[in-house]
Parts: sequence; C-alpha cells; structure tokens
Amino acid sequence: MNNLIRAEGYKLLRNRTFWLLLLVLAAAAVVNVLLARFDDPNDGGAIDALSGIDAWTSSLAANPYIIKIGFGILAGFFLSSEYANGTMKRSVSAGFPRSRIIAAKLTVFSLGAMGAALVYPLVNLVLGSLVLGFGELPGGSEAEYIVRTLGMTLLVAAAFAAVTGWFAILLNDSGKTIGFSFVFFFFIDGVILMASKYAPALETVYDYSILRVILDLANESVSRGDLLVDIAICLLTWVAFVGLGIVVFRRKEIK
Amino acid sequence: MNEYVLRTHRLVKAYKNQLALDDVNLNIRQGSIYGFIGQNGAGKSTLMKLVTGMAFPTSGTIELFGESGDKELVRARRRMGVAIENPALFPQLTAKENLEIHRLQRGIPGKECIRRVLELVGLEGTGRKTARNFSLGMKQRLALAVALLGDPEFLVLDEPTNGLDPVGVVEMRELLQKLNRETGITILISSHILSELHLLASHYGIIHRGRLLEELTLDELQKQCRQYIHIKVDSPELAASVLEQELATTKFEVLADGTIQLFEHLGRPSRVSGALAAAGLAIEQFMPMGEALESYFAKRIGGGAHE
Repeated sequence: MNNLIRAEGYKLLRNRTFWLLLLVLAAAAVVNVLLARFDDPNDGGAIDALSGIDAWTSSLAANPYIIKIGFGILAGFFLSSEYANGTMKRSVSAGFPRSRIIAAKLTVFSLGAMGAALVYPLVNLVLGSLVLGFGELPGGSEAEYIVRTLGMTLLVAAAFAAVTGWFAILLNDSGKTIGFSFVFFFFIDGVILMASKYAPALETVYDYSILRVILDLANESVSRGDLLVDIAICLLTWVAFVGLGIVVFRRKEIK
Repeated sequence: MNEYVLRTHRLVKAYKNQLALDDVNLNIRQGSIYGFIGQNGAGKSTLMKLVTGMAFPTSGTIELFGESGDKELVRARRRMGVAIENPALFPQLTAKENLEIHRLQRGIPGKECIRRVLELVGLEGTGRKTARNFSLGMKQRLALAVALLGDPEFLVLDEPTNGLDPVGVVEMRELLQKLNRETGITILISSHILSELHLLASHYGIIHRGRLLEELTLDELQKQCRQYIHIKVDSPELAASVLEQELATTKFEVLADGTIQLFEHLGRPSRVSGALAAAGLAIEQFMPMGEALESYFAKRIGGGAHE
C-alpha cells in the first residue's frame, strides 16, 4: 500500500492541474485581500473585510464553491484522465489488489484536495493579517475558531473529494466527471430541499449530509455536540465513498 | 519449476450477445516467444486483457506461473511486464518520470534500473522532453521500457511494433530476442507484421473469431508451410501439359496471373526447367519458394486474410 501511495503522491505533485488550481486560488486570495485593503466599502466597495480574521471568515464562506468546482476539475484531470491515457491499465496489471489501487488513488486525491481547500482561506488569513491586522472575533476565541474551522475545512474537503473521486471512477472520462460534478453539486441542494416537501425524511438526510455541513463551515458558534456530529458525518462520508469506489473499481473492466 | 508460464483452460469471454473468446486453451511454455496471430477483433487483445487482469473472464480459468486462485493470480502478475494496445503513458511527464512512477509503484529499489531500461530501448537521450512530444515509435519504446522495469519473467506485448520505422522494427526484434536468449524471459506477442513474427517467435497460436484454431512450434510451422517452385512462362497452358505428361505430376496450381506453383520435383529443379525449355517455352521466372506465414494464416482461417 505504501508503494501505491508513494506512486500516487509522485503523480499528484507532477500534475499541472493541481498546481494550476493552487496558483489560481492563491492569486484569488491575494486579489481578495488587496480589494479589501484598497476598495473602500464607504465608497461603493464590495468587500468589507477589516482584518485578517474577517478575511478568513469571508473566505470560508466562499470555500464551498471552490470545493465544488475545483475538486471536479482535479478529479477529472487526476483520476479520470488515467482511463484516457491508458495508465489505469498499467496500475491494474502491476500485481496489486484493485481495492488497494483505488484506495491509494482516493487517499492521495483526498490529501491533495484538502491542501487545495486550505489555500484560499490560509492566504486570506495570512496576507489579510499582514495588510489589515489580525483583528478579533466579538465574544469568541480567535485561535479556537481558526483551529475548528481549519479542521472542519480539511474534513469537509476530504469528504467531498471522496464523493467526487467516486464520480470519476464511475464515469471514466475527464469531461463527464467535471460536467457531472458541476451539475450535481450546484443543483443537489435545491433538488433535495424541493423533494423534501413531498418526502420530509429527505430533509433529515440533508441535515446529516456533507451538503449541509459545508454550508455551516464558517459558523462562529457551534456546540460541541454539533461539532462532533459534523465530524462524524465527514468521516463516515469519506469511508463510505472510498468503499463505494472500491466496490465499483473491483468490478470495472479497463478498456 | 513450472513448465508453463501461462495456461488457460476453456476460457470464455462474452460481451452482451457476442463471444469475444470461445473455449480457449492456450499454453505458453517457459522461455518461449509466443506469437499470437489473428485478425483485428479476433480476440488477441481480449485474451491479453484477461491475463493481465484488466478484464474478467465469463468462464474458464487462467493459470499464471502455476497459480490460478484470485489472490495468487494478482500476486503472480507482479512477475509480468505489460504493454497492451496504445502506449500507456503520462503525457505530461518525461520518460524518466514515467518510469519513476512505475518504479515507486512496484517498490523497485534504486534508480539505476531506470537508466538501464532507457538505454536498452534507446531512449536515454530524451532529457526533459515529455511523452506528449514523443513520436509514436518513441512512445512504443517507452511503453516497452516500462514493461521491462523490474526484470519481469513474462512479457505481454500487444502490437509493440505499431508506429516503429523499419529500423525500429528490426531493433525491437533483436532486443526481444536478446532478452529471451540472455534472461530466459517468456514473451507473448501479437503483431500484424506476420513476417516479423515469423522471424521472432518460437511458438505460434492462431486465433480467429474468438477461437484458438491451432498452436504450433516454429518447426511445425516450417513443415506446414509448403515449399514450391515458382514458374512463369509465356504459355501456362502448354507448361501445365508438359508438367503432366513429361514430369507425370498433377501437384501444381496455375494461378490467375498465369504463374505456376509446382509442389513436386523440388529437389530436381533442373529437370523441370529442362522439360519446359525442351517444349519450346520461354521461361521468364523460375525460383524455389516457401509459403509465407501470411499464406498459412490466411489458409488456416479459411480464406483471405482480410474480411
């Protein structure tokens, strides 16, 4: 398993889409902080971050879009493209159980996705603090808030990566993976909430899904109990979708 | 030690309503170079995919290095090197980086092996050039280098000469022969260039419409490939009459272009040419020939080589 993870890590670190994604996110964060610094909200400016911690909070609110769009693209170019260029054949004929091959791919993809999910908020926090000052949260501990939201960002990113990775394994094709991920993640919330009018159980399902957890990422006050539930939702989603990935990949013929 | 590297027993692969492989019993002896011959869609690639674990059999068994259990088969595949269909490469990476991924995956210690296989296939000078910018021939060589990494005992190559220039084809043949001779590596190879396969393989399997029609050794193939004297004269009708009456043989064929293939008197060509000349025939062509692998293959699958 170690060998497979090392090989996948080598691939990820040489994947241009991965580095481009990191670069674009970092650049977007720099632009966001500079706008906050120079675009006066009292004079028609749209961004009203006053400190590093403000920039961190606002970036967490934007992160769901980054996770939903960015991960679809990364899954398409990191996972699905292996079917197109034939390297998936190399992997399955190398003498390792398919379950380990796909578990290694999804693990490394999740780690890469977690890294990508941190770039935008972290650059916002660090650069925002340098330019605007660190700031403070009204009635709360900044350190506790940052650690909690950072940890939840990592967990949510891993869970979303497992789901998107599963799409990639299922669909075999970069274009289909990217397109389907976009459509799915942008409409699924609305579809579930609309359908829950007819099947109320769906609302409960939604409340205990990563689709809800990601929207609550930036909440400033979360009870310990709710936090534990959110952590469990993310971990179980990751395990479930890696497991589904293994089930699908074990039966899949490589063309 | 197991006598056979690969055996299949009653192997069947069906896709919906179509049988891609039908009751295939394949036997590849250790140390042999097994030329796998068949038309497009005959089932060559399908069989290779089953052997390498890319696809699953509908029924039947695969025995690799004497192992046939699911887990044992997976483990046995670590002793194989594989290059099937289009070269499987990461286009944005260099030759060395492509090999490094495979080295890490297989846990092969040291990077020396990468330099060695690149030299072996003649790609040591590609530097920072990425696989995307390689010619098809270079990609084929790199795919072979990947397959050779880790010193496999069994090499499965599907059309490895596709895209190679004539010199490359000869170099590939010489490399495979050298590896087989020096390391005893067993090779399963398919190719459309049957004349090339004829020069390389020690054993042959002919597959047609999913059925393995025949397995034979090079010696057996040589016996099967009929020898004849190729004759072209100004009057094929008169020549046929001379062969029947003067040489008392009916073992000849007059082809549509007027040439004659004589399957008797192979050891006495001067007697044949003498009889033809004595009848006043002008001999334009007269030479001993052997039936090529292509002709034998076409005959074996029952008609023209192409449908």
